[in-house]
Amino acid sequence: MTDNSAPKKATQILDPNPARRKKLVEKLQMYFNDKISLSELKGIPREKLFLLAETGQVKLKHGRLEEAEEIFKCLLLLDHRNAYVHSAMASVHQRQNRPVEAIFEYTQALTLNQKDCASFVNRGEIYLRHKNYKKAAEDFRNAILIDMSGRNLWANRARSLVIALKRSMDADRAKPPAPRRTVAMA
Amino acid sequence: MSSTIDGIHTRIDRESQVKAALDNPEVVEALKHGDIREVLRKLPSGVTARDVEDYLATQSRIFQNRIVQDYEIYAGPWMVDEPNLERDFGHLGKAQTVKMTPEEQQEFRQTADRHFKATSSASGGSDSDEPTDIFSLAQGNLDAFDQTMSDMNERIFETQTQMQFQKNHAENDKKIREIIAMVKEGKIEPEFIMIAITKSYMADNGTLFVGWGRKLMKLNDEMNQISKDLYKKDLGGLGGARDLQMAQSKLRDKGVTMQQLQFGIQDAGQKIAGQFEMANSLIRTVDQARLNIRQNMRGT
Repeated sequence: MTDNSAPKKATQILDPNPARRKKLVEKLQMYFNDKISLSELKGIPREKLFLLAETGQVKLKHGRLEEAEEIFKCLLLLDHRNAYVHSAMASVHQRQNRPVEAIFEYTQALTLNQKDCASFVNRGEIYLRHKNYKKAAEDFRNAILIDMSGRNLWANRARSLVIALKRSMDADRAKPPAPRRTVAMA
Repeated sequence: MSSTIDGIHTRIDRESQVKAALDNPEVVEALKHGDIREVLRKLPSGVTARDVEDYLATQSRIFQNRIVQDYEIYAGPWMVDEPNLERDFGHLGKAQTVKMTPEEQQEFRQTADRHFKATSSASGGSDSDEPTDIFSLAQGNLDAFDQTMSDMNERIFETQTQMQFQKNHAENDKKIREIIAMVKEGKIEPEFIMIAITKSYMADNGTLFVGWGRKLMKLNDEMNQISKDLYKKDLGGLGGARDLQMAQSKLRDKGVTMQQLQFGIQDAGQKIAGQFEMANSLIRTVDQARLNIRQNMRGT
């Protein structure tokens, strides 16, 4: 005689590779949450990226801006969490007279690395050229505060640009106010 | 042991002594003229030309250190430093554990394939598991969107033309009525009625003319865009023949519409010219009749 009242044991369904899937999902989640870059996910060696960045910097240095832009675009795709790449891309934009894009990239670089003196100085210079003196002064101040010893060339450039800032402001103040247009009444 | 070897001097020890000697105004004057022999003659014995050179070099270094750079340095031809492996790419070395293994990559690819390829059962209701080309679906939706936008633009154009037509027509009608009233009162000659009617007719047809012209221009742009899109596509690849056929069909369709519009424009132009001729001949007839009446009156 069989006992029908005993509960039946449910069939256990086993995932063929649950641990791997869990790990994969975690990695992808990290990528989508902006915690790792594509190069980390794909395991591209940093030496390769460094060589690419070096090539881009040389091209930028010798004025081959379009080629440099292509390289830094590629690097941004692979390693978007790299402040140097953002800063270099911003320099390309700056030299191609695209101030808005340049400021955006410098800001990205500074978000990733708050001690990036070059980005502060270059962004400040764009502000200065567009007569946004307040923001320019803030950037120069931050750059100078990073290096109080006077050894860093970028900080020294910020110091000299402060003089340029003062001169520009003085020149603006010295300018006579533009004559107001008067509407001729009939 | 004295260190009086010729040519070797202890600069630091002798600097204060040289400095005192060089402070002499006569020496300074001589230095200004640049004749070192003259300077040496005025200096106390034991001070050599080398001492003076050393002293000046030291002074130069001191002055250079004191110089305040009071000119602006703008960005140079390059504006980033060279990259540094440790400084700029150091963060990559730490996280090598997050690299996807080949098995994980395969898993990801398979899952992505399953999700990104819609099955035909979702759209067609067929039981086969053959995947539908997502790209074609997207292209179809884009085409439908383009068509809707084109239809909308056409309607806007038509409404604008119609409104303009009605407005012009009403204004001209009002003017004609005023002219008729003035003719009835005998203030102006009756020919003005003909002129006004002709002008109104020309304005009406002119409005249609402009509307059709704009449509024609839009069609031309659309046809250019189709040709450009076709140029970008790989016609030798998969689906190239289909793309070509679709583009040709669209171009043919737009070509027919364009031809109709051209006929319309031509017709409007002919009507304007005909109306103008008619008005001209009527005015001449009226003039002739008037002249005949006058002559007959004189004859009687």
